[in-house]
Amino acid sequence: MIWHRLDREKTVSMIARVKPTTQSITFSPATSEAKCLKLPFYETFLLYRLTNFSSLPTFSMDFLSDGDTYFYMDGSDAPIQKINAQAGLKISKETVIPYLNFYYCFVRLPEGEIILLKSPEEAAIIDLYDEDRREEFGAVPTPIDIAEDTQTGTFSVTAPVLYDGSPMEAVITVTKDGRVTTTPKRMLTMGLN
Amino acid sequence: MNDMLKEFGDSHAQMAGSIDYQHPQAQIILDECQGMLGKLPEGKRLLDFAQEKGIKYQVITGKVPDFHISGSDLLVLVCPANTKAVDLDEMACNMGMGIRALEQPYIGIPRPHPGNNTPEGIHAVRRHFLDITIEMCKIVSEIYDMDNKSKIVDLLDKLGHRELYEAYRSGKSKEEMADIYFKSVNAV
Repeated sequence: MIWHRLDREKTVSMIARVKPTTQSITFSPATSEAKCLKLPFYETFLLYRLTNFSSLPTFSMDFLSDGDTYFYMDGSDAPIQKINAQAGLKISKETVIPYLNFYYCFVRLPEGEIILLKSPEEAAIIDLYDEDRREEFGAVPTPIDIAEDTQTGTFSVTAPVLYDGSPMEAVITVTKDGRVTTTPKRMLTMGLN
Repeated sequence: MNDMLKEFGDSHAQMAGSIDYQHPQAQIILDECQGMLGKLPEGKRLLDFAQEKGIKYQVITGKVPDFHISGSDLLVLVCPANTKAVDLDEMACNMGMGIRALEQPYIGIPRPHPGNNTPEGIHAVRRHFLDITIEMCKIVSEIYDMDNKSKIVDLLDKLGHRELYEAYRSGKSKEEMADIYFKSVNAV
């Protein structure tokens, strides 16, 4: 998955659409960058990021947008559910893992941080604040089991996760409309499972 | 967080274009963060400074807890919409670091200007981040001394500042802490 930088005209247009009604957060086309990322589970909506490089630390805001309407990623799953209901979600065996990586990256859950681990061993070295790692939406856990209930369209994924700082095996269900439930099953001992 | 647990976690999606990104629990978040900082010696000092200088606050929603300063007197705190998912210590620490960032020009640390790649500009950026990170160690240390909870220390560890934190706890000089800090950030 590759980010595409928006040209100046589109950047100016995006800033005009998303700028806050207050003056406390400002984005100038000269010191800001806008980029977008195609997501395999949405047909018409892309992930957009606007970054102000003139502040320290740099300040970014993320949106889901069809290029017309922008939904701000506010740390809850509300914008995701809104898009899922409005524009539809393509959930399949191929897209369920990218969807979960995306979901856990953008939704702050009461259980704490959750990350699908590439392997249980990754728990020892993963950096929670490594944005590049968090945004590897195509990363596939090993081992993994993906089962589909063809009656309901619900997927059940069993995979290693970092669950509030601990490596766990979790069963994650993803309904047809994109609702995610994460149930930790057992603690993983790195390298011994 | 505490009162923030009330009836929260089911916010509506915010459509950009007509909003200010204001967090619906902004006042509660500010009250709780100030309440927490007010229990710490350094936190209280920072709050007194903020009051004396008329620093203003704003809380917006966002993916992760963070802070951002705007102009010379506005601190913007970023807090996820679902406050059940947010640790009060972490938010209070962000508030403390943000106030410190606004205090820097008053104590001889000039505000850095990104993009200024002159030796002076680079030096200003380094001083800014060193000072903010030591401030974080100070606040985390006081939170730990107050309640012995290690979660906030673990967070600092995850950010890669364990060695700096231990140096601060053991009373190392500013020069020694600067050496440790720049060694750690240069290693990344």
